[in-house]
Amino acid sequence: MTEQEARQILGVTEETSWEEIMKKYDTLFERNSKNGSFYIQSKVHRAKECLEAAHQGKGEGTPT
Amino acid sequence: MSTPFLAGLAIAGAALAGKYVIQAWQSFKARPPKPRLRKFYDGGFQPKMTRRESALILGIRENAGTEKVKEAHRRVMVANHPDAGGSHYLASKINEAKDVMLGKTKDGGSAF
Repeated sequence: MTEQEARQILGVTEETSWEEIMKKYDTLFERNSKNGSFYIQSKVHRAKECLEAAHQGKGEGTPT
Repeated sequence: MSTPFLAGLAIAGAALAGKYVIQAWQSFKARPPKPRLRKFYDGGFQPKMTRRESALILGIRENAGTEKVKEAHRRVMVANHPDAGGSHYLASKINEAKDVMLGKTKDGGSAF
């Protein structure tokens, strides 16, 4: 999954704060666990994983 | 000689074991329903939507009828509606999934 697709899935932009991203993830994940499909829930989860990895990468700063 | 004694012991042992089996079975049946721990599907959406992916997106079988497709589409759309916090991308995928399922259903699903 690309970062771009991950952002599209969660409906966020590059400027969206991590907090907002987590909120969207929680909302989408919950709603799909109740009324959506497991497949969509998986995509939402994978999107969050992808953005999380990118976020950690950025947050590390200069590698020692 | 001591055979009846041994037989009695064996029966008692079996009864005791049976009692525990029944208890375990009852507590198993009465366990609080836990969400099933399924492994999430990997990766993103397919570059070209297939009937299989469409069925997965809508949570229905590949041979589901028109009514089921429409029902599932409505339900999944409600959960992912852009106006209610969903994303446009997911909404478009859900719509595409419905089209694929209905398109194929109309012409019988054969590629030939």
